[in-house]
Amino acid sequence: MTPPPPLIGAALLFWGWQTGFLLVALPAALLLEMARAVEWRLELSSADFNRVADLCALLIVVSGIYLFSTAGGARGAGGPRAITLLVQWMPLLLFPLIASQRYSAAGRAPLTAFFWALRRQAARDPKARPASTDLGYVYFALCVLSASAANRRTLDFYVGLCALAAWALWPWRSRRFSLLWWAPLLVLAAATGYVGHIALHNLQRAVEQTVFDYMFNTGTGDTDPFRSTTWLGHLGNLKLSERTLLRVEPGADVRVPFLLREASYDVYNAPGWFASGAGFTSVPPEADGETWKFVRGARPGSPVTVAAYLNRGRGVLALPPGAFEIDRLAVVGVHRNRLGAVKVEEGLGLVTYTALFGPRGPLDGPPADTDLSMPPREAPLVRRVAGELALEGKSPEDTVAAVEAYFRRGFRYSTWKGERASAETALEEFLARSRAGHCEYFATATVLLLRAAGVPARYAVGYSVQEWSRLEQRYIVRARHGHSWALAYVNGGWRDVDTTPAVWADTEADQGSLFEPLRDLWSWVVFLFSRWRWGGDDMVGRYAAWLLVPLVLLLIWRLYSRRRVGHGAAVPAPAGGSIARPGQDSEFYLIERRLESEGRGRRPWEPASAWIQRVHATELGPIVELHYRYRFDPAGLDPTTRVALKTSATMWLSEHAQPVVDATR
Amino acid sequence: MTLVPPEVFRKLTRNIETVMRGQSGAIRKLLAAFASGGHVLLEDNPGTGKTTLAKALARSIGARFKRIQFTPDLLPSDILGVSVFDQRDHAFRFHEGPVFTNILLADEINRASPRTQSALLEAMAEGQVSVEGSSHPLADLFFVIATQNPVEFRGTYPLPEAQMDRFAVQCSLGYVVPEEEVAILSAQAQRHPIDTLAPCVTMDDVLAVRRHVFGVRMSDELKRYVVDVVRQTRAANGVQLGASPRASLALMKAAQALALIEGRQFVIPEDVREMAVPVIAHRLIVDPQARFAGVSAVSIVEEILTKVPVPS
Repeated sequence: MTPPPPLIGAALLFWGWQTGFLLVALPAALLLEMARAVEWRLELSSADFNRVADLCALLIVVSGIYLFSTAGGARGAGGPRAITLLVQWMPLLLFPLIASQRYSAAGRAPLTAFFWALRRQAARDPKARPASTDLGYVYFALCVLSASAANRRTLDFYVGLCALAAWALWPWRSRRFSLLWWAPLLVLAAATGYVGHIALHNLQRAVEQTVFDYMFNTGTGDTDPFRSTTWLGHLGNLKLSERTLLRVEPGADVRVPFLLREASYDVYNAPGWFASGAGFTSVPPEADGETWKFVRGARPGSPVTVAAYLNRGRGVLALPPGAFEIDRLAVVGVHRNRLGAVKVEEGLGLVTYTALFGPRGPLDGPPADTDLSMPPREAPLVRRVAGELALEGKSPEDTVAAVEAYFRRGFRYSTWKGERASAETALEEFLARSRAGHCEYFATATVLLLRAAGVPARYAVGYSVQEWSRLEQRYIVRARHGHSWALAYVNGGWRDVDTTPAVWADTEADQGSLFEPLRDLWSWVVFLFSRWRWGGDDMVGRYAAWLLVPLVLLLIWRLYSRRRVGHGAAVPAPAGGSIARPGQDSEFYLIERRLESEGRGRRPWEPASAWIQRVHATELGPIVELHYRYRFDPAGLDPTTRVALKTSATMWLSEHAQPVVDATR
Repeated sequence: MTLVPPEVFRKLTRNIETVMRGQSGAIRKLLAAFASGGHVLLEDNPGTGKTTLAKALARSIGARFKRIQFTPDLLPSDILGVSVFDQRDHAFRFHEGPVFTNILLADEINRASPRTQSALLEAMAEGQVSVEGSSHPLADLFFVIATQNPVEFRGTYPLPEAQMDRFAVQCSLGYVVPEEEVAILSAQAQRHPIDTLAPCVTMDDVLAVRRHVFGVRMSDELKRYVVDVVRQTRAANGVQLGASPRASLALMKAAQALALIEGRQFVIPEDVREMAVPVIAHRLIVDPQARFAGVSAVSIVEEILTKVPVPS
């Protein structure tokens, strides 16, 4: 089962072309195919193969760890990507194994290299010869599989795949049928496969669409700048994770706690807030490619440095209110909308950026009609409360102050919601009855009250920076520090109005689990690694390859130091040279060759009588008998019988000049 | 007047087949071993006809036939013979044991102690018996058919490897097809057909056949094939002890005898392949681990036959 000559080299090149590793694939393919040109071979023992296999296993493990820790960042969302990359690297990682096999005298790899159990067995019984296998076709399949992992959705891949498959199948085709059968059938199979995969793809799209329509109302983990599903009306306890999401280092003049906003919304439709007309526009980078300004010219401002993980390189940035410039943000695209959301694209797994902010940020667009709109269901109640507070006619500042005062009196923070009458809305229950809720209740009620008083207001979500980590010596923001508040348009600028009682932070902190310190430590380690990894230059990637050099040198030294390098194929030549083999000119061999060309060849271990039985050529019996006498009777044939053998064989050959397909029927 | 060898075999086969129905393969192997001067070990379940086959062969030749039923308390002297003090001559006289015969049936050989089994060793290998310092030659035609039951583990002593190696061929009979079994029932409804079995060839015929076997020609290429197959057993997976050069020798002789049965004066690869399993398999000691994995000596030899290229 050895692949035909340059098949593996071609498969490697195909792999390199598809995955973009052509520069690596070219020398590797050359090295493998060179084995045919050179005479010398290495005397590799099972132990040597074990070592090479261990080296490959080590490479795979190290690459796996490296890819998993870098490709996806710490959120783990990059797992699939890491696996894909690992599969793509496989031909390279297993190259030492196939190269050892190619240059070994045996030309096969012992199975002990792959199974610990077999190694133990071999250690117990050193005399037993271990089973071996030819890795050629396995490696070929691996190359094709890895090439497919590059997922270049072009016709090139399919055509290449079909060509390679045809090439691999060529030596195994049935000799009984001519090429005119073989080639069209192969083309037909390839075409069927192509059509089938398109149909499968369409089917998958249809299924996905159906499922998506069905499950429309499910929230995603990331902040959606167009919609925010709240927990308003959710019964029971609200519990959020303590996972660390952001690491914040504010400038010296920034007062803690402060808020980092991700997005704001203007339309309430219980239980969600929506952003209307919030299409994104691209922000051009400055000359250095890492600075993004939302206003022209330089302005004084306070800096806040935030480190955040990006899911697949994209996400919405958490920014302080009034941010006007972002520095050191290593992403390809930055987009903003009129509601102050800034999203980035094609970043690394971890971004660290410094946001400059000051009063009157340029990100929030001027108020629109939607910033005063009231949801019809909640409107009567909100108007009534606004009436009770006598907000009519007050200035915006007074209105904000009155609303803040209103929530300070008699409202308390609670993440627990008990039962609620079915008729009333969640907001009614909060304002009129329980007067207890979490930040989303407070923020939503504040926005609606401000609007009822004629002050344009928006609903903002983000994080509250409040927890100092002694471990990391910086502020950390956990998922449970997620917060929502109101934005009020006062005196020509948007202002944060956070009416949630300040006690919320303590309440949330009480929910921390016993394992929090451990989790934090792990999270920090992952962060340090990610920062090191994404910290500008690819240290690991650059030096990992060099780590291989001593390993490979060690391996080569070990091979040479024991004078393992032999010359020529070490397969013991059968000592047949000394044995007389009479009758090699028997015409029976012509018959054998003819039948072999028809795909009815004799197996090496098969005696002639069994063979003619198997291929339904029993009419050859007398010829075999004569041939056997000629070959195996040391007395030999007398001239007359020798002529009889020749004549009968020639007669058979002339009778079977046409394809023998008919003869088998 | 002596018969030509193929005729001898044909007659023997026909005669034995009147008693042993549906066992032509086993008879063929038995005759090949018999003609090549080797001994035969029949291993099969009780009641498959081992003893009948041995008796049928002995009766067909008209040779002396003795049977030893092996039991745990059987002693070597019970087989070889014993020196008895003769009061009249005031000297020891050797009383020949049952081994002094032409055809010896050692029934259930694995039920005797290894000491007794070993007593057969010299007799089988050298054709002579040494008792108390003097050697007593056996008859020219000395042929041992031993039987043993594979299933009977209790109270049995497995044959030592050296003893196994002395047997040229081991074969089993197996159960016959239902039609044949019905025929066996019908044939024995009145009396056992073996009671009426008459000799069909003479001792001289048989000895002539044995001489003929030595004259069967075998090419160097096929000798090499024999050696290749036997050597492979020594390196095969799951084999603790491979076959000895004695196995190569036995395989060559058996192949020669088979060629003679077929009426040929030279050996062809098919002869070697046919006799390979019965000649080699019982000499292999299979690794216990491999045995539990379902590997048997027969399957190992069969696999080797599908690996070693055959001369053609």
